[in-house]
Amino acid sequence: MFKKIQSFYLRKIILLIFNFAFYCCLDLKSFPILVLLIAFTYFCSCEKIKKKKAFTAIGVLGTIIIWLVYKLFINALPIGLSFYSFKIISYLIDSSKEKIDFKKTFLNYAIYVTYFPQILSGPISRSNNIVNQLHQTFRFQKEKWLKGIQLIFSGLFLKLVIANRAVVYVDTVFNNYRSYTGLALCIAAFLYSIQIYGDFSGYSNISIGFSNLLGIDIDRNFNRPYFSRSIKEFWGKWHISLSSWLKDYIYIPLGGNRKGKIRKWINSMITFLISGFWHGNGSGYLFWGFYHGILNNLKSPKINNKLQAIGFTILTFIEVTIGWIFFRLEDFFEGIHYIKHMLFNFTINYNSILSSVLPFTKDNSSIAMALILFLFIFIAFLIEVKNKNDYSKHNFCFKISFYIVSILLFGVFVSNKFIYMNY
Amino acid sequence: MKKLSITIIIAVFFTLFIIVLKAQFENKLLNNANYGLPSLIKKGKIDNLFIGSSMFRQGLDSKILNEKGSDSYILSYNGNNPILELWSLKYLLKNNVKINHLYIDMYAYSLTTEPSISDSKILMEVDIKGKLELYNLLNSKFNISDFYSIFISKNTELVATWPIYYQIINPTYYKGGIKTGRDGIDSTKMESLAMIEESQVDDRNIEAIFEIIKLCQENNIQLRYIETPKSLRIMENENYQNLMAMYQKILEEKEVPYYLSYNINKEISYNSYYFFDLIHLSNSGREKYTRDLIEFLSK
Repeated sequence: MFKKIQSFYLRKIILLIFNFAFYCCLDLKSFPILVLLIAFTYFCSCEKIKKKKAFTAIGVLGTIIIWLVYKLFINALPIGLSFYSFKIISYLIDSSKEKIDFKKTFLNYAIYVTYFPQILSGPISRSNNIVNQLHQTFRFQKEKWLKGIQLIFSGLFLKLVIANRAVVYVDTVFNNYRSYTGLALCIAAFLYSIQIYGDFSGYSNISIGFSNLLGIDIDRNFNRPYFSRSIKEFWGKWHISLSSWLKDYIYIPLGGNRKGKIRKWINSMITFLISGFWHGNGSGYLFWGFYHGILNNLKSPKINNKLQAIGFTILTFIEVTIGWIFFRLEDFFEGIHYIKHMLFNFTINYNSILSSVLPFTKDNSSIAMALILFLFIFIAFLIEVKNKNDYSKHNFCFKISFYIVSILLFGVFVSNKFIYMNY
Repeated sequence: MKKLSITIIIAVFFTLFIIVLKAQFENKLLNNANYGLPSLIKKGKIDNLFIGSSMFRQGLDSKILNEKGSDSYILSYNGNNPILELWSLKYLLKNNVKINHLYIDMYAYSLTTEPSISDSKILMEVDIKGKLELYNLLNSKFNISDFYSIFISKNTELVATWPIYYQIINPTYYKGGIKTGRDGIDSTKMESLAMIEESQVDDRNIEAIFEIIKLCQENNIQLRYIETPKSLRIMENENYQNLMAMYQKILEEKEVPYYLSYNINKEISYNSYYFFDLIHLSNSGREKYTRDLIEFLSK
């Protein structure tokens, strides 16, 4: 069927209609905001406008104000607003700097902003990347299909088998952490690190996989972040599209590292604080940004051997996990209480181990739940160690079979919302 | 692409094969277990059978019940209500289990619950036919979520980790009862626990009680109802008392003997140490109550 859609224009119209329909199915009442924002910002970026810089500024400010109003004063954020706002801003700025290398039509722009695999939670791709590949859409390309299908199944595996399994324990303990032992709090913090990675990288894989099926290549959004040996390295591997957006549109315009050490430090802190605020306006998010800003400014360690590399990888994972505690609790003081409770009530004995396993189901099947979850975390770890995000044809049938069997037998289909849909 | 399609088809069929295998045969894993329906069915007959909720599991000590050559077995599931109690009884009778005395948990709040698989453990203890019966008990129309959970997802973890899980869990049971439970709490903690507030009776539970009584009469089973002790906060609760009054009225109408915890031991409810929450007995509470119950029954 796709082969028959020869007209490039027609294919773009079909994609736009599909994007709109997809958004309407998810959040019909916010659809007018999306359309109005696209229309308004397209007007601001129009080539015929004389005062280009001023209109770009109006467009950027307008987008930020709408986003801020929803974030600060209206509790229900329209689906994807945080993500498509960033796409709009990047387009406006790139457009004013003549960095757009495709024909600036409303159709191209609207497709870019509403592109359905990315509208919910990114990745926040740049317009050049998406629009320049539109001519390839709806054309069957075997290599991309194979990669796409593998990514979709691996994403579903991470979300349904890992993240949705971990969420049961994480929510039980985090929602009532004062009632649990330090060991349980430790496990919950560890599992939240796994959950958020499984949830978000799972979503990203599904999103990129769908793009591949459409014929569009998207850069990876996660590159084995928990194998990082410093926080600086971590931010080059975690939510890459957001990190690079913040770097290109906030950090570098502020002066980046060009204006001395102190300015570099300040610029970096501002960027991380904005990153924290983008995720949420609770004090926990702001502290999370601040905390990562501080750690990011520390000098990266010199690694001389494998043992040191392993040590720094574990240390970085612990640092990131501590940050997630504040992120998950959304409140700075709650985060401090959690860590205090975790440290001062930490004992390892038969009773504390038993009570730390119980939150899975609150009965003795918790043991089986824990065993299965940790087994799958270990398998996911091995996949990452061995494959290094290789989605080639190598072992293709085995990997697909493994994902299908695991998802059907061990998938948890209760919680289908993705964490980053809240931001 | 042909290879991909074949891979997906084979993987899906392989999974379906495992699912059917699991649904039909997982109960065989429990044939020699210290708990559950399969080992009771294998046994074939039982003198004293206790069917109930977690109240029975936490409130009755199987070792004490089986002292002095008695043959007792506890069949308990979390949140068990009369509807599921009736189903368990029917399932046992269908599998030719001979029961002499049947004791049923007289838990007032269980009258208020809807038919539901409140304890998924039961699904592992029955074959595919039993699962279908339970599914039909919950749904008059096709429900994909229940279907998926009953036939596919429930207890997959237990089966997958069986060699480890069984080795850890089985020794903690004795003839359906747990060997050790939890320690008691102090009165301050007891006061801080959230109160249970349920008052709306589900008529299907009342019908199930009538059917249990009828079934016992038809099969010559001596039926008795037992109320395990609850904390004073529950015993004094108006809702609880009203529900218990209704329960007693039903049993009196049908001339079925019942034993209230008040008749067996007046003191337990006053001591928080005998409980680990508002309704469940602690280790010491269980031991004390079971001994008192045996003494009471022997009179």
